[in-house]
Amino acid sequence: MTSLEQQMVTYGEILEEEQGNLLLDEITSPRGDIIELGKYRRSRPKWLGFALGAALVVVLVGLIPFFTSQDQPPVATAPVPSTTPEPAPTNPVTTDPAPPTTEPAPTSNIAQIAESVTWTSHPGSAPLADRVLLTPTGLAAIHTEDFQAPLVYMTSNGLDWSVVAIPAPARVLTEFSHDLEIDPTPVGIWLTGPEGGLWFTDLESWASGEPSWEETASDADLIELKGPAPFGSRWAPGISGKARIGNTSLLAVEWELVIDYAAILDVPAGYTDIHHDDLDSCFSSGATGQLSVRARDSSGEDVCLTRVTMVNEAGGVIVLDESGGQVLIVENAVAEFDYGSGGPHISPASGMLDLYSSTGGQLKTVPSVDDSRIGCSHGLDQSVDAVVYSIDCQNPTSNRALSTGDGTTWEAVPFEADKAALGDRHPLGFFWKSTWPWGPPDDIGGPSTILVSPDDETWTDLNVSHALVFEMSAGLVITFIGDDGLADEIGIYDGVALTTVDVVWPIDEWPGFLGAIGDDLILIDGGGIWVGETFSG
Amino acid sequence: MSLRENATVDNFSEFFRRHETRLRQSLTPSLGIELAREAAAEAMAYGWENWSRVSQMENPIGYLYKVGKGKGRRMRVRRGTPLMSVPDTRIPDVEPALPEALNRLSERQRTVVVLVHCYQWTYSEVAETLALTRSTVQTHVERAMSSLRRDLGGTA
Repeated sequence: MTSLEQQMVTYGEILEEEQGNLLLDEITSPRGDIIELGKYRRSRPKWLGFALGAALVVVLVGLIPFFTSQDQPPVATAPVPSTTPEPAPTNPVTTDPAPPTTEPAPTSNIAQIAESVTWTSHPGSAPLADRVLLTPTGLAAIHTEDFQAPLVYMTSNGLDWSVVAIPAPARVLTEFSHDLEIDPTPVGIWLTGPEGGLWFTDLESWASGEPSWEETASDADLIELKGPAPFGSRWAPGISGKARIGNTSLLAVEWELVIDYAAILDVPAGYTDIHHDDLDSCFSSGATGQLSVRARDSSGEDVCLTRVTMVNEAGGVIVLDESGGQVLIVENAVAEFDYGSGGPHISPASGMLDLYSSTGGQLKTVPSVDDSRIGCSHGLDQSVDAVVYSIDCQNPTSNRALSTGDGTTWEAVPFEADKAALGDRHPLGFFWKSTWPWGPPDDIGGPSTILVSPDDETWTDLNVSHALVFEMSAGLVITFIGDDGLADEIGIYDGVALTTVDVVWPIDEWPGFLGAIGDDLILIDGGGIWVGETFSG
Repeated sequence: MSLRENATVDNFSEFFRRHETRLRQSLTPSLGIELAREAAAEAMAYGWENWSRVSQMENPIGYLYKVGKGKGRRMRVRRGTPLMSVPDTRIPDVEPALPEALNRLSERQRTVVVLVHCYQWTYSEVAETLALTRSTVQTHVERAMSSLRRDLGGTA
């Protein structure tokens, strides 16, 4: 057998042969073919097919009362995205029966899943809102267009709304809709006023119907209001996006983060600090964890790295020093580490410091890294990338947004379905929600990965991106989101399988605001509200 | 068609000629060859529809890579193995376990190592398309190759 490198070259040739370069052939065709690139787009014709089919079925359904009883009021025509630009129907509307699901039926709960989503329209019953949040007692719709007169509405059933008093002219400060839409234990709501000042209320207080506002001076105070967060979860200075207080019961696998710090120029002799945006700690249960800090110059060559200081999650300081290849735990971290017989490894000569378990030892804790101090005796006279890895860890004890060097923001958003409702099946997972500064401007965000586990041991990547996830009685309901709005199907993961259900959304254009109360999807757009029944049972 | 429209088409045509293969290859490690081709076409179509804006971007191919990746993932609801198995006729040349070993890598590592070692991209080309730094690409490649060697044991 030839070398691995040569095998990969050959494998690349195999891939290209298989690919057949069909599109490459198109490149060389006349210009007109390029203009008609849309002909390659499979999803739109497929989607249009569904839409036209839906319209046909609805028309037929609409004709039924005409033939059966002239006294019955006609059934309104269901809206079909793009093909019917009319606004919300004024009567309760049932969408057409959808085509059969595209996924094989899971072994349980499938009987509860409707063949299609049934939408009921309630025009005019919803307030204008630019943000809709799920709270423990229902949905909160927040309208902040007018900075001086924001309004917060609450509903417990999706239909009846009441105005919630807010403490001052304010606007919503935080971006947390995704969290709250999927998190059964939302934290709170933050408001800030035009002259500064910050108010916080615990959403749980809304269970009594009125929020309990507390003024606070800083983000850190907000956390204090909530009490100490587990495992040192705290507000990190300078982060992009917002954090959630940690949840120790949630798992993650293959946690990998690379943070590049480029253009640290003219580092003098001695040490310099690299201020991370606070790399989360994570716990590993039998998995191999690795954390390394590497310094390289602008050409990618390793540079001298004699010392790395990391602050662990409990506030202790860990110092890795090249002398003797020792890890010096300065304080407060001894009990957290069990490297087994294989590590830690320190290879300062290569400019790389690794903490890992190479021979089966369990690395129980990878310390959180707030700041790294790098340096060497002769200084660093070129730009440096410090790359921080943490791979194959589990149990992130907290999650917060992390900004990488290219401006991409990553946030681990865990979700956990109702154990009681699902018995032994335990849909539990997390996804990375990433945003990037130069992505599609109309991208409304969402997860990049959804990992689920029925038993906390076996993990499956559902491989959906840009989705909203709701917890319902039969499992997790995943609404897929494309660049141009909601996809024409939703997924339901019940801990056994992912079932897709076609859906015709009752609005023509996204964005609307989608939430869930119980087993109903709540869609709010332009003051209209639709309730979508996903389950027949 | 006006002169301006002609110029726009010529401009996009040149972009398409130069970058389509690169875009498609960059999507192959994460999506597989079929979806990668469709996603690349979708992304290019998106680029054409928004060409006035995309053409002004600092890194249009990196942008379309993100677009294509999102579209491809949306197409693929269930997980498959992105990289195809080795045809029987090529087994003497390629270890049959190689595709599965590649599939077991993290998506980022798989993407980078396939682009560098299978498609023979330079580190700089990978860095530009994936919006990474060159040193990050190098690190991914090293770690991926190390994992592959460990995974394949003595067969590679």
